Amino acid sequence: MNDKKNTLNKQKLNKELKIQLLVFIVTLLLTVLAFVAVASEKFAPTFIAPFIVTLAVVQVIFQLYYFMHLKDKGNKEISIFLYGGLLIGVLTVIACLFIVWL
Amino acid sequence: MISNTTKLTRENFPINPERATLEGQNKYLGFWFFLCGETVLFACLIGTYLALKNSYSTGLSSNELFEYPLILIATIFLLTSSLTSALAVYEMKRFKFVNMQLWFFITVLLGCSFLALEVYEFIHYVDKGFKFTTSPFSSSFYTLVGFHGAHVSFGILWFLTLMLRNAKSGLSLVNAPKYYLASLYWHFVDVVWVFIFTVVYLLGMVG
Repeated sequence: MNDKKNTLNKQKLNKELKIQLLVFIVTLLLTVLAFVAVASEKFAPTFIAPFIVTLAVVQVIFQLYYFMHLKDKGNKEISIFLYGGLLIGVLTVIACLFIVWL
Repeated sequence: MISNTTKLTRENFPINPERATLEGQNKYLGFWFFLCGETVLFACLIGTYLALKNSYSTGLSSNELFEYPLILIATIFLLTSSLTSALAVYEMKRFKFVNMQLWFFITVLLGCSFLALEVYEFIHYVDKGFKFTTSPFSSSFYTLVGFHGAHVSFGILWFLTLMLRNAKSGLSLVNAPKYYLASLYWHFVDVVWVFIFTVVYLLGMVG
């Protein structure tokens, strides 16, 4: 019984490791893609700015869910903290940009 | 849950050792609460930077200043260190203490390389005449990126302290949550860098 549970756990861990390696490669590719897109200077600033910010958001979601384990069971309460912090964070950035100094 | 007196082996070590005790669960929740506050801290700094980045006065502007190949290499170091700390946690869950210490050590080395590049970068900028008090842009830049660098340094010290403190005792359900939280913190610092890399450096190149 214990042995069976142990093998299952090991399979689960190895699967998680494979996903993490994949996520790492995708993250690296996205970083290089964003860098090359900007360095080529072929795109208009109105396109490139939202494009690279979107790439960053995608990378952050990968990091949060796969490296910081938000996808795991029993982490719902924790995502409340995360989204709470993000909400206040985004509001702060907007406030700084459009209200405070302008 | 496993009682404190059970001898831990590779067979009975829980798959989620960081949350196998009540103390671990509380630390885990509390740490996310802390990360929520950190998110707000960095949002304030990024917001301030974005608001001030075009106020470069007589100093250098963002697209005259940044050293791009250097920053790309630093970014790759930090992203890789995020993976190595995830590998360390993988070894922790398999109850392989020495492997875990080794991966954390590699993480520390990558973190140090990142810091060294950042220090070199700052010295280079100061040589170009871009100092903390040069312009609102320079002040907000050094504050934001410097705060992140301070977080990286703190993470390195945290890993080293844990590694030395537990070097002889091996892995237990008391220190597993501590290692786990240090690696969460490290991932968070990496997440912040992804944003700094995009918002400060890449958008700075666009102008």
